[in-house]
Amino acid sequence: MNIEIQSAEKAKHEYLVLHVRYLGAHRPFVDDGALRTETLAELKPRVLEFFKLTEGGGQHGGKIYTFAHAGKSLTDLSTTLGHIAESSHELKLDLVEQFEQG
Amino acid sequence: MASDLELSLFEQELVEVRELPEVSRWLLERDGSVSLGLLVTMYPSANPEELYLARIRWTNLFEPASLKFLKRDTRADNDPTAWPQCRGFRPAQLDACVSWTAEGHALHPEWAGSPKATFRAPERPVQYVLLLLQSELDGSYAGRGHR
Repeated sequence: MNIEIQSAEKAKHEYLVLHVRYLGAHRPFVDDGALRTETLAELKPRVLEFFKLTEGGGQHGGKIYTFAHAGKSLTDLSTTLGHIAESSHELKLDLVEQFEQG
Repeated sequence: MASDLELSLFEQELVEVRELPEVSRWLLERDGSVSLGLLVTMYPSANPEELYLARIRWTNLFEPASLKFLKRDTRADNDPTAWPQCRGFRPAQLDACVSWTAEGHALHPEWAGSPKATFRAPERPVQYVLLLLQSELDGSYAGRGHR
């Protein structure tokens, strides 16, 4: 019994519940077993695929997407979900489209 | 003139946006002079004392919305000091020259053919503009506009 409790506690500390909201989309991306060690770079393709988005750069351009947390842009893609969530078991991110300006 | 579908979606969204966590920071009103319009008072998270009254109007709910800032006491739409300075906003020209506004696309018709700047109609247009505007106020605010 104690071993089961310890295992459950360990699992709780390895995973978190992740919600990613894409502004204007009906449904958020939700992963209730996201690894705390997952980086934003690893997460991004999963999220873009969920929202059916394609990111483009380079000469011909294309839309660029970034994550934001609590209104602040997250520019370091090597950051882990656990680092952003700190001690929380839940993490809410926004996927933000970078816009052209004239 | 807005279609029945647009009017219906707009009404549905007005209910849904009131469930957003951010709504506690906003004062939302309908813009009664048009069928698809809102007035919303917002502030940047770093400067909660700086209140801005935005007027958002759609000619077509699936196209970029018009964005103007109004003077809060008179509701005049011709005062640069009613505008926040954010990414792409031009208080002196009384417009937001960005690819998510009608004004931006009117100034840059070439954006319609640009993979980077073309407008991708969101599933929830009202929520989209409100959250985007809040995001700009929180992330790129650099003070009030000047005359």
